[in-house]
Amino acid sequence: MEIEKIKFERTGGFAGIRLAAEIELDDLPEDERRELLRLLDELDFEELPEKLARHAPVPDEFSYTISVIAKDKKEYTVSAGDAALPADMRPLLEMLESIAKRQMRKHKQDD
Amino acid sequence: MHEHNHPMNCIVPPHMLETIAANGTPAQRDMAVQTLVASAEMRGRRLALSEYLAAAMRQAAPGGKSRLIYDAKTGVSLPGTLVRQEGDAPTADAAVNEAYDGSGATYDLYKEVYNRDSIDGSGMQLKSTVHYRKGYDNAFWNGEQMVYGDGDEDLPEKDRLFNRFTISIDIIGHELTHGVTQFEAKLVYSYQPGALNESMSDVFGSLVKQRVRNQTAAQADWIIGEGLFTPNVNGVGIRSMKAPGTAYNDPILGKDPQPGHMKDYVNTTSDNGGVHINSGIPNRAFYVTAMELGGYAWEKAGQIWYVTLRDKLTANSQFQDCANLTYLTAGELFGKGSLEQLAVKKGWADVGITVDDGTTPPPPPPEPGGGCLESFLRLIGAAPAKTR
Ligand SMILES: [Zn+2]
Ligand SMILES: [Zn+2]
Repeated sequence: MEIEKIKFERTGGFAGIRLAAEIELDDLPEDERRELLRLLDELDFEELPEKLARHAPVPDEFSYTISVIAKDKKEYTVSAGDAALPADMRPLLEMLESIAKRQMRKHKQDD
Repeated sequence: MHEHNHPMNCIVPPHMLETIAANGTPAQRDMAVQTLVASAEMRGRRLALSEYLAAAMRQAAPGGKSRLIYDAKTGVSLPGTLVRQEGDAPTADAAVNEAYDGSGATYDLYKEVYNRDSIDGSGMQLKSTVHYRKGYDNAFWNGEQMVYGDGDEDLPEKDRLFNRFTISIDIIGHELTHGVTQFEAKLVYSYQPGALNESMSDVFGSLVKQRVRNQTAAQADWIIGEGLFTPNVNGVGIRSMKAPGTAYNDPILGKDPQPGHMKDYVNTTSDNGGVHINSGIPNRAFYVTAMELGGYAWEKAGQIWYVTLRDKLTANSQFQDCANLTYLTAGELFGKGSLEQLAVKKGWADVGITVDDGTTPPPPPPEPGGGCLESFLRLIGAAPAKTR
């Protein structure tokens, strides 16, 4: 799969403040882009079920939704709750979270 | 999971306890005197029998305040390494000491004011883990324990938005109250029941803070999560119970989305149906009730909300149910048509919810007469068991 962009959303949490980003792969620094692709590949992202680790919502946990959009416009979406997140998903989420935070700050500076 | 129920919800009025204190056996007198002392501390309020029951059980089983603080050392394993337990001296780690003191203050509110022994009502240990993950902007209750992140400590200071989550004592009371709700009303964590679940956590979190600061309703700031934002954020905290929607307005984080009235109720599937958003509505209903009553909010308003959470609300309760049930509870605790009951009605009216004050009256509460006294005596072993 050739990936065009990734949509990332984090909702809930004690503060209830949404964190979201649309990440264009071409806009990322080369090493970051390569690492992101490696993580997605390692997870077999397009084969993952749409809802990971179904469980009753945990008070104040984060909920994540990640959509990977391929160049052919096919979209693969996975959502997961923080508390029961499979361990092998963490590196990907942490990376997307930090890119999203960086984008939020950058948008502010651009204003 | 531990479960308990409330076999009886009848009320033992103080005069009955006085009779027992004067005329009972030594063991009965002990029990009655203790109870009277406890209720005197609550300014003479009548208590539900279930609370005396809980007190009686506590005497048999060891319980009491037992805090355990663990350090995840920025990892994900829970609970982590035990670093401080009940009675230990403070450590050099501020997060550890805040978790210890905050869970202690929360335990004390529930025990000293509402006569509840810990999260489950029977002395459950209070476990907290600090330093969970790296750059973790959150705190949560995982069904068994509290978990706190360090905020943005991994970022350069100028980029930090969140401080560590133990910094604000009401966050600790908030998380612990999720545990209480799990054992009591079991409010489902989505849409209106979820927003009520959230609101209960904010209410008792705020009451923990107000009590530690010895503030009346009028003196309190009614801010949840004060001090959690760094100076880089334009905001006083995460939520305002007094003025929902005004806690922050920041170029990066956006604006506090909470409504304070039903007309602004937010319909969304995000955040489990807006549980952290629409909680602003019941939060403000509590604030208005507490302001109407004056004095310390944990005394009257808190008592009404606590008994409602413990005995009345159920998994799928809606805002309207909560309004009706707090009103009903206020009538049972303080009398029908009492100032307390009217204050509750006014609190909900302020947010656009009209209390259904019983054109179809609820079933009458059990007679606080011989039947109730008899069961009470039987429970403390002073009357023969019922024979058929
Ligand atoms: Zn919460
Ligand atoms: Zn109970």
